[in-house]
Amino acid sequence: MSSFEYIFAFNNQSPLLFTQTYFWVFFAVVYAIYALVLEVRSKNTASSSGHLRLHLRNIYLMLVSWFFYYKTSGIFLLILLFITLSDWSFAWLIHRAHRQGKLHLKNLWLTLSVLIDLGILCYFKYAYFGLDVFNTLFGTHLTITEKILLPVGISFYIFQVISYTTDVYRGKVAPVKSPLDFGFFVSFFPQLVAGPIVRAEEFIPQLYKPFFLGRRQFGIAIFWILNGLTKKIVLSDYLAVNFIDRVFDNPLLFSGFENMFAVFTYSLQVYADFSGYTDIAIGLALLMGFYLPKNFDSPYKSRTPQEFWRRWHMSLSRWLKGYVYIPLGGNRTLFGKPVSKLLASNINSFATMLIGGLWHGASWNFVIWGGLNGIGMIFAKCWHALKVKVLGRLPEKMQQLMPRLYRTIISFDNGLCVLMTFTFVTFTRLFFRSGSNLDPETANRVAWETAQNMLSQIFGAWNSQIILPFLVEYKTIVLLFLFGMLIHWLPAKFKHWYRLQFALMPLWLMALVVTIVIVVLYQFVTADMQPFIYFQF
Amino acid sequence: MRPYRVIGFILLCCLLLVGACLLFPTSGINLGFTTITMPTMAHLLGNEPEQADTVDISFLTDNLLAETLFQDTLSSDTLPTDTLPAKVSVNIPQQATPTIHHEEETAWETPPPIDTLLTDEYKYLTQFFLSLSCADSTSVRIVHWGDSQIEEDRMTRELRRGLQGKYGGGGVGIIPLHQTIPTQSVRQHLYLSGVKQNISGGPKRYLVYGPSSMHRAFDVYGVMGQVAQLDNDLVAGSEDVELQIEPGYRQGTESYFNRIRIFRNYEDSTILLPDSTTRYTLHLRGKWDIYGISLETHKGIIVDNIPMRGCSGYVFTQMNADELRHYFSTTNTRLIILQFGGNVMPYTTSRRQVELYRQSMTAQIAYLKRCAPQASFLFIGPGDMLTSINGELQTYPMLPLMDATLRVMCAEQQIAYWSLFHAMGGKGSMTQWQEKDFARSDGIHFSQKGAAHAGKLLTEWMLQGIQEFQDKIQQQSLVLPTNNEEDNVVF
Repeated sequence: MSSFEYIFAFNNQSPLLFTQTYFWVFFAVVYAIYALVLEVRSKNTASSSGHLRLHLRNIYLMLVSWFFYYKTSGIFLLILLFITLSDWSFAWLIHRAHRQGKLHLKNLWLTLSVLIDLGILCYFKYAYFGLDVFNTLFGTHLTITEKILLPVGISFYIFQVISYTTDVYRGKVAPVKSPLDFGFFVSFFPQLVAGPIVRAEEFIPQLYKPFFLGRRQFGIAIFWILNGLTKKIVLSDYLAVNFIDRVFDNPLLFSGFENMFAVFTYSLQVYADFSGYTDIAIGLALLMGFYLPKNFDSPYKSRTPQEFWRRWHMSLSRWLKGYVYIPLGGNRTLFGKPVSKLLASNINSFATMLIGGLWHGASWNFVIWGGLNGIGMIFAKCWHALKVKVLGRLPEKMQQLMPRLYRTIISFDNGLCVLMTFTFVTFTRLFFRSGSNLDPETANRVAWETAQNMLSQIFGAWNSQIILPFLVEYKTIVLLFLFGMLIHWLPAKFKHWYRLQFALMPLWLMALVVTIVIVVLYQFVTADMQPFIYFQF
Repeated sequence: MRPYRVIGFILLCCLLLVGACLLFPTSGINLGFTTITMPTMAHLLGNEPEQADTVDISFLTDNLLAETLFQDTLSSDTLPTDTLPAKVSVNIPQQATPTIHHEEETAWETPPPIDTLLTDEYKYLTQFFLSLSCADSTSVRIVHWGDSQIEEDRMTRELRRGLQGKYGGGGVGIIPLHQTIPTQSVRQHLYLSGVKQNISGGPKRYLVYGPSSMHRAFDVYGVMGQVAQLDNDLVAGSEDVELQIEPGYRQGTESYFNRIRIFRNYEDSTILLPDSTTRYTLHLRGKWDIYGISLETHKGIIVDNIPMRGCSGYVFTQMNADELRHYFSTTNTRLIILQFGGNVMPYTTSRRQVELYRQSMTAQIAYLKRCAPQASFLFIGPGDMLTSINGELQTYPMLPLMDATLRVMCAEQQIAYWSLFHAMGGKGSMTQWQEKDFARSDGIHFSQKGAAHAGKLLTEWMLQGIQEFQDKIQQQSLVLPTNNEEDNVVF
């Protein structure tokens, strides 16, 4: 491959990722030109100069983002362009119908827009799953002749544009005048392929604000980038390659203990992977003067499944709440009919979790995963209600009479709840990971088999004799897992403190720390793979 | 903060990193528990020459060249002559080339130079191909030993199905009493005193491979390299051991079996079944060493899948020769497949280590040949395997050399060699196999799909050899021996 091809052509063997050196060189070049764009001055007034700068900046970042997406997904860039143009047009049609007072037309445009968006998503993401379900239901043996590949990030940007047209429909935001500005909103490269899902009302106002980056914000941005890279390389990639993937590839070859440890380690890995990616995205966007919403808030500190979903993939949870749960009826109605708050809330949140599960992947495993989370949420709510009913005013009285004992009990209860929620969430992840990274043609079968095999090993082939040798031989994996969880469970105040200390460092010292962290990360990237060590013979 | 200051910060970081790359010793800084390394500038700029350890053997066109390579690079006096433990003394008479019982009567009026009929690739399998003509009246067994790559009966199953489809035969061959590593072809449930045994339960087991704590004080392990010891003390209050067996697949030749053979100390037992069985329950009583239970048919091809997890193939000389010889002769074993080498790759970093492996395996093969003089041998080398080199997944540098070396060794030992490495596509092919979902993320093991594919490649290669053999026979108007009576093939 020539240097020109390497730099500019799409290579499906090596899509552009934040962890590649190529990306950071790309970003440095992009930022250097970005700095020049921000210095552009108009010959006329200062305000027209500012306006020109904003316009140029948005166009420049849009083109850069398109290039980024091309390097990531190749020809699928055309889908992104189509979606951009389609939803920009529909937003204007909705807006015009609204001004003309034609409600039916407004509804029609919104419906059409959402159908097109979801149609594209379903074709690329759910074609195999849908066909599998159809074949099972009707006993047919239909197949898809031409392989359908899933465009990277399609689930994210489709949800993003749906939020935009819906917000325009609801009158929350005005339609974006320029299709170029809208193109920038849809394709902004830091969050394009893995979120956070940016809602129109959060991001579009930023399109018209001038660049601003405070000294502290700069430090925080660098911190998020380093934090994200560390999570991604050390806690995610290393753990996955050297242990987790091996077990999930074929659970039957490992004992129940190893399977269970793999599921727990996966809980940390998936968090580190996803939140690491969004940390980097947030940091990069901040360096360019844009704010992306927080996407994770130490989710494994949650005491209940509901709280977990308020802390995990927050942008998706907010999206699902705003665009699925509330339209379904929220806690007021069920199928459009008013029912009791508890019933409406539970059924609608369960349905939302099922849809959320399916959004994550196209197999029954994801539906089961979503369903389990829904059941967990309902159970936790009912348990809480029961606890309040049974205990009555006892806690308050105890707090007054025996405050120390009360605090001890509350601390113990909190710890237990956190552990139980973490264990529950981890257990559901068994279905999630079993369904991930699979060939869509066989995803349903393989995902279910993997989950079944893991469960049978965990509950039927525990083999506690291997625990000690396992801990010794896989000490790096075990220590990394413990280290990751320990960092995760550090108090938020402490984390905030050290984040601030880093952000306020002198620049030279910060550069030195960055260099040291990169040297350490390089050791993990180039580390020898953990050799296969068998315990079960 | 102005953007140009951000650019300045990025440049400062780049400068510091370049400085680190320049200052770091090429071999890294050893901290005791790990060595810290940094890429060289040449590596960063993509101008790094190929690694010294990477052995290019593309120039090798035949085995002799590979052999020459060793003569050039190794000094024989630096190598141990035998790396094997001198534990087993073998006293097997050197037997002549195996013959087939009816040969004198019908087959070869003028004995043809049969070993020269086939190309180099297949010529050492001639005796096996010859034995296939008897498969319509008796069973012809293939023993497939290997490492974790053949676990779950993955590659073996394809070979079995291919040959059983052509020559008849059924059953999965030998299985252990207690299946601690599951296989897809057969499901087993073991009950002791009515209690179902899990992976860590069951009778006391000894292995010739694996951790030393599982080794036996003496060398009797049976052909599977593992023994399950039925002990009255273990089965408290009862001597009854119940084994439920059922095929893992409803379709496929291995799901049909009409004979069960129990290989144990003192004597073997054969149980004839009236017809194909979907589920069989076996009750065992007494104090026995069970070496394995074979699900088979009385004629056709039987293929044993014997994975030895984590094993490099050094263990055969630690298995009792009389036991092995007994098994091979009573089961009419006509082909022994050895699929090893993968487990030594992570620890093989020099040509000398490759040569040591060759020497070790040479001794193992010689030992097995003495135990099974009637059998042909096929060695399958390791497939392509990836390791992380400077953060990039690449083929183990010594793997191409290992593959070429094993080919040379097989030629020397006069056994067939099938290069899984080349069948996969050679150096770096594992990456393509991973992309096709043929291999797992570890860059070593095949996925189910990949193992089936590799098994099919092996089967095609084998069937092609059989076809070539049959064509030659036809061309030269030779008559193959036919046997109408069971068990009339003698050694």
